[in-house]
Amino acid sequence: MRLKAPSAKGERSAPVDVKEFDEFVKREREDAAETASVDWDGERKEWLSYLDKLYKKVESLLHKYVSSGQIQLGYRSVELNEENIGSYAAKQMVLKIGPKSVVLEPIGTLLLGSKGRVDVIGPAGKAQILLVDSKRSGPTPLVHVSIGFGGKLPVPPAEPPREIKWEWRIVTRPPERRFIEITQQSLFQLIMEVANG
Amino acid sequence: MDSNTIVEIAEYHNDVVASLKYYSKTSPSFISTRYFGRPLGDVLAARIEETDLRSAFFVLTALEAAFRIDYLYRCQKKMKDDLSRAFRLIYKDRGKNATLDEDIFGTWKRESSAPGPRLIEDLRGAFNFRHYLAHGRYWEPKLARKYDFNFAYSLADDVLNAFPLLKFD
Repeated sequence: MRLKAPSAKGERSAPVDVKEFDEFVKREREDAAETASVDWDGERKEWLSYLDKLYKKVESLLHKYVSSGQIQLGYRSVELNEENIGSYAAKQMVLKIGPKSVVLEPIGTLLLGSKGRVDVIGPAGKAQILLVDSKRSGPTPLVHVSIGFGGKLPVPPAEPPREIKWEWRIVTRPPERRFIEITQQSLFQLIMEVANG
Repeated sequence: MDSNTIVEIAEYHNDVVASLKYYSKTSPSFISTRYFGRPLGDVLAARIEETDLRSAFFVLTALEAAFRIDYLYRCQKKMKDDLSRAFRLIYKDRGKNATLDEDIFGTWKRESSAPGPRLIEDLRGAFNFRHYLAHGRYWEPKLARKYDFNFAYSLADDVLNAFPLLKFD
């Protein structure tokens, strides 16, 4: 916390008036009310359920290699910690391909622009898998920040409500960041990229 | 500063990672003398991890520059919106030395529609990470999430698209 320096007369150069303080208290209460209105436990359960779906998809795409013993597939428990949700356990998938390990590491659900993120980490790099709106092909901005005049913020145009279908997508490297469907081909390419360079 | 800056950082990052991978397979010095006794894969992974952190740092410094330039622009051009007016009050006290977190992000949170609990907090968290990198990593940071280049780039890209940041011609 940084306090404003007192002036030569011993007064603050820009005093905080009652109205400003009232607005500050009101805003903080609104933020807290917004946070309290979210079902955080439900958010966590939904994210973990989507995480399971991702793992099942990866298992099915690698089935031929896992069943023949060419790839060893296992899970480890990891602890995640997210603001508002708190600490919770999640599964991490570990693939062993010869001497190399590739880990699918869950990062969390409270992210801007997506509902969940899993990093794919290997000895030659890492990549991202995001849980995103299936209609999106890339990270189009989800918010537009506007500035007020005379104490009033412009009302953003309301988008018609629609049900979002969340799907896991591989994200290509920045700066491109395109979302691509998880298929056998895209998954194989991803694993080779992070494991082998 | 515009989004081209972070695009250039990402392209440079990709070139360095590709070079490291190539070098790790072709350079006798990489393979033998300097890292004798240490698995080659470990060395490559460590180099890539370090590159990742450095690139994340530069993306975040570019993002900081964008916010600071916008702050100075709004102060010097005497714009009439609420954000610019609030910035000018801060400028009277601190001039160009406004704090990024409290003065700049805090004012954006109060005077704009930026969603506080998510976007501004993500920014604050990312800049704690930037601070840790900038000051030599000599302490164990208490970070709310894992930060890396992908996260920093995604955040910077989203923020530069979402915020109406101004800059000098």
